[in-house]
Amino acid sequence: MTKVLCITRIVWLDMLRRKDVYVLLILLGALLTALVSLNIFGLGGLVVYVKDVGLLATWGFGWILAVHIACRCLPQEEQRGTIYALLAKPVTRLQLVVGKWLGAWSVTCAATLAFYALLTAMVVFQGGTAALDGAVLIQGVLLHGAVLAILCALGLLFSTRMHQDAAATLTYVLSFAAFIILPRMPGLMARASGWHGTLVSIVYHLLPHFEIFDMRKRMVHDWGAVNGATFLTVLLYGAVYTALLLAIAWLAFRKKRFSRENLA
Amino acid sequence: MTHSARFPNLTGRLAPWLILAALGTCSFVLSCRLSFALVAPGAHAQADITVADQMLGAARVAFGTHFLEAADIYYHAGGTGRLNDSDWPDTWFRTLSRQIVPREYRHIETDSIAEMAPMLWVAMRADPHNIETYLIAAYWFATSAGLNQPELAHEVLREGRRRNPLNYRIRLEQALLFLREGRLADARQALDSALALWPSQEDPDSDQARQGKIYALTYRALLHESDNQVAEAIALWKQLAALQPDQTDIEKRLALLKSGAPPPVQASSVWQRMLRRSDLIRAECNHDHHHDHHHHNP
Amino acid sequence: MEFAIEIDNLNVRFPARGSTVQALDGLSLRVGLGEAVGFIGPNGAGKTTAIHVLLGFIEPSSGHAKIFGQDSRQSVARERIGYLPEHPDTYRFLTGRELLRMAGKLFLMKEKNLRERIDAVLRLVDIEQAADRRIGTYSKGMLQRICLAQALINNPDLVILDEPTGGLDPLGRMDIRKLIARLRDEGKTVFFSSHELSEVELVCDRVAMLARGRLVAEGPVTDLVAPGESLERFFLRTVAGPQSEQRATPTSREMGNRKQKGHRP
Repeated sequence: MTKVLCITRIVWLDMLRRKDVYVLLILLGALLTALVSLNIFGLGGLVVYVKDVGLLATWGFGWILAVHIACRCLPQEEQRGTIYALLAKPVTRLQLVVGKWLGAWSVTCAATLAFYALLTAMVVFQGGTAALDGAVLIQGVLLHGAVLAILCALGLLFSTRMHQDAAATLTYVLSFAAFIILPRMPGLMARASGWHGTLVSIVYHLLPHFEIFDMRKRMVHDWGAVNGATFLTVLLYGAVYTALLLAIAWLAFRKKRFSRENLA
Repeated sequence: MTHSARFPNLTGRLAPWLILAALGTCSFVLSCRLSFALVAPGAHAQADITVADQMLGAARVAFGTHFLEAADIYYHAGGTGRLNDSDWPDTWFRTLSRQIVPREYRHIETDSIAEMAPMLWVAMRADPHNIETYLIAAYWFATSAGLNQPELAHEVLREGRRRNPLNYRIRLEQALLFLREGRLADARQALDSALALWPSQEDPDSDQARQGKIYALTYRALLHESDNQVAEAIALWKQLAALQPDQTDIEKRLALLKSGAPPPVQASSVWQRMLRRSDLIRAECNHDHHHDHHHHNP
Repeated sequence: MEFAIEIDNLNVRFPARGSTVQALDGLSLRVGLGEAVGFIGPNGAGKTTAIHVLLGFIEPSSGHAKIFGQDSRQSVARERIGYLPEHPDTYRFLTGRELLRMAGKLFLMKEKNLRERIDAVLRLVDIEQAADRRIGTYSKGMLQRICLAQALINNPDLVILDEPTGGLDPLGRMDIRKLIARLRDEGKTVFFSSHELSEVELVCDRVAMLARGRLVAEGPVTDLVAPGESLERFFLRTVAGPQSEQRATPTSREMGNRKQKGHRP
């Protein structure tokens, strides 16, 4: 575990010394300040739209960060040639994959937590403490964390076999499609039959279902917490899916031959 | 020493992002202006060109509609209620999703009605020519117990009138607002104006235009009655009878007026009752076709 | 007898554009404890491939490689190794000290030992004054030295250096040469590949010469080289045939310099 954490620490230091997270945090702060300072019809204390837009931005920024960091971890090691010095140490490739994923996920989660903290502060400032249900917020943040875990694993998986830009593009497209198209796919399943129906069904069950992690509407419109069993089932699904992606990433990376020239 | 010489790294790092952002904005603006011109060909040919017009072109119609729908979603506390997926196969993911994402039908509390305001505000700015937005905003501002801001409703309608000076529906809505407040002189003027402007850009044979004219004529006829202008009232009731030949109540009232006998229900009571019914219809949601609820005529 | 490195009948084949490239062809080599062995050969001979097999980066098609008696594919085999890759680079956002700490932690070194060892290797590579600066601000020579320091953080028994003097100025090359000599004197096994044949001659007890994936010569420099002959002349005679000897001039060290700029596998 020490070795995994050591690799995780490299990702952390890399992100802390880059500007990406700070830029997004400032952007979110500016956006929320602008929203709060809008004097809409002279009505004060409006808070639902702040939560709505703020959560949308938090999800968007978390998504960008997760894909951006996860897809960069491994190809960058190869491009810089640092992979040789790293793997010449008593570190297995599984430890490297898990360490990089843990680094990408924990950095993204920390940044996302900062986004949530900022949003909560703004919402409380605008609408008072009653404007946000603590239990729903905690559930929402945890499920958001599970989405980020899947996104990081997906990005890392693609980056084991392709350039970081290609991996990031593929992850963005796939996750966007999973978020937008997948919930509507049963409509297609209802109409499709034969091999076409089987294919649609396989794709539907194979791709990650991000929609079941999305508690934004509950948070925005105060629908109260989800029951414990449903919440744990979704979390478990997220954990299993992430583990599966990491296992595939390890299999893809296990015997990879590195070539600096190919990635430069 | 120049700025870029002092901050070479910053300039170097920002330049590609700025170029990308500029290109992105340009392509967005172009795509809005080109692609939506087909959807709404006349939408940008208005006299007053706003920033939204310049940026979004005809696409602002789509944005306006989107934010108007967003206001509707806020009114239903996030539950869109579009349950047109009942014939889809029930999967494990759908079962979970139903428990996570609220689908039940619910309206926000009356003191939370104001939360719809930002979406209506954006919708007005995105598409200042969407009359529906002004009517919905004015209705909620005037009638919601939690808000009770008739002045705000007037302001919204004034803005709507400024943007759409030839639209009869805004004048009709203003008339209803004046009637609620007992400002009968203003109501008379607004109704006359609405009838003069009718049908504006609507098809005169459409249900909406027809209904609009019927309501304007009815309220105006009742006002004539209350002013003891019997001849004018009779003329309007005749027009109404022609528009709704199957309405026996109109014929009865017309007969009473012609005979000089006082009607069984006073004109002011009739319009008060009509206003209450109009409020009920507007606030009510048909669960199967709920998305049409804000299109009900008064 | 225990060997630091044991390579037996090692074959490595790569698929390349529809055909197969034989990078190593039946390579067998043994390096004893405390030996300093120079691994030489023309570009594309398979030196880096052999080193990558030793470090477990590449799985051989057949044959096997052992480090201190352990299969090189196992991560424990790398616990006693220090490795400096060709064209070394590292995390430029870290300071020198942070890099060494990270490297030490990967060897599960205890905090107190690690602190002492970091100071020792910083002294050894003479980079103490820049230890707390970001590596991104280092010169090429300093970068080479900090990379060497991270290779030595675990006080390895076997040091594998792939072109350790590549791209360095004469002063930098001399420093590295001195360091290799010092490691050898401390009883470490040093296995390094280089195009600088004069350096190999100066530092190594033994050389192993590779050409087209095969071991073509092996032994102490004095045994291989005829009296009055340089290692470079021997290299040319062995690798390219007697006629290429004619091309060698007394100042043909330049040739080594030119070669190292060429493409490597």
